[in-house]
Amino acid sequence: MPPTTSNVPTYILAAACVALNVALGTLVYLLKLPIYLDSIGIMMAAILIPGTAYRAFSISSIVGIVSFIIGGFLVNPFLPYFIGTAIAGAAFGAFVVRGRVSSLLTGEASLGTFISKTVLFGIGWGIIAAIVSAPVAVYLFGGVTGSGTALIIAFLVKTGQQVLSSALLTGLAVEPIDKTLQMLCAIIISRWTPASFRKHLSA
Amino acid sequence: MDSSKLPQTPKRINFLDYFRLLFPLVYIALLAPLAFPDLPLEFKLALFLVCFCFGLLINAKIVKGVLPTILASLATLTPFIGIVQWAKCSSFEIIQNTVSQCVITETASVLVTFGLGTSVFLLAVTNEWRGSLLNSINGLRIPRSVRTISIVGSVLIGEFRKTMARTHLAFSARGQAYPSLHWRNFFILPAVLGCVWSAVLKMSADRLDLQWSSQTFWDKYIPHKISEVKTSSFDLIILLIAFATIAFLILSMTKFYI
Repeated sequence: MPPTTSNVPTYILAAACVALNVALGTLVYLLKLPIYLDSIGIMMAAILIPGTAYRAFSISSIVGIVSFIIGGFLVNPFLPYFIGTAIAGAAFGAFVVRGRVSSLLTGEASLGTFISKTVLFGIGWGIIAAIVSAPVAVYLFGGVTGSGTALIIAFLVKTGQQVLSSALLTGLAVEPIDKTLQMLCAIIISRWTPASFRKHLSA
Repeated sequence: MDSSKLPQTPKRINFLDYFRLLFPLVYIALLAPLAFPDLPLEFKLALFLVCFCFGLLINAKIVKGVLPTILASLATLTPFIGIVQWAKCSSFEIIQNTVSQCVITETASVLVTFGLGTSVFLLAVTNEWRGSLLNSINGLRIPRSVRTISIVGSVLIGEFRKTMARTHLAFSARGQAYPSLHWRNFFILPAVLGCVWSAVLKMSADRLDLQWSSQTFWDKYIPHKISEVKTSSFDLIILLIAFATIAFLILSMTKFYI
């Protein structure tokens, strides 16, 4: 990828996705929402970056790595340990979601198609995120990542489950909901991309 | 005699300058103990203290800036770890005082692991800091595309935050968003985010038509090659700590498996 002016719009889009990921904490705080929205930019980069799926994957992976490192500084010190989850999300976005949500981005899809696709991709992303993040959470943080899910993990451990399987089960219960919400936000925000910027992107 | 006309002394390349290229590996070597759960807790604790103190010594301002975020995270992490470890320890049906000992030991182990990872991360940041974000990122030996995304991304974070605050204010004034915890804030979130995204990208498109379309600007702002290899006086000590860590790991492995 030689850095010339022709691919500057792509880098600006990727940088905007990084900034969106990191700055979202501010909005979540202003709206007093009890959620973490730390990966919307990764999915948006995977969907919007022009070119091949491999290019979209590499750039959205960079978006994930950079935002989780900067986010580790400004928002949450646990984020850098979950870079693997960001890369898995980028792969899911670039190779599975990308190209299958075009009708949702243009607004041509019916409400039923919009809901079914968003929920389906959200659940898929959530399952992958849960599988990738559970071992890191268990081996580095004893199954805890600073959120309220620790109480569910403790309950499952008390019922005789291993910590790893408890963390995985909890992740499988919580992540699909979180990621479906993030997928919904990613698709809706992508539709708001201004025509003037799209013109630069496709030039 | 004008000093500028004197012949320049060629810059002597220190042997450490060559090792500077290996510094990502040096930080990975310091993080290596995280992959060995059987290592003594005292060793991890000592390494955590050494890395943290060095970070503080190199750039206390950065450490002080990040410390409140880390401490706030620890304040929520510690009780949760305690709850999970209590559930784990008590499920073995052992006597009461042993359960409390088990909880303390396990919680301390997780906290030291977290502390070690964070201190190495801080050490890396303080050692790579070159006075400004632009110089620091440009000083890293990473591809130009990654440097571009990191630098522009860091600049845009401020733009996003300002626009988010303004947009939230506008939505609140119209009664569509609430300043307190309210279920309606969930439904307004995508629209607020869409407005923010649209506003920032519109501004970016305007800049792309002017300053950002110039190749000269990018060549000056984010150079293709990093010509100067910068070493600090702390590099040698960090290198020695990394070597000592690897040596200890190898010795431990020998002890465990022979």
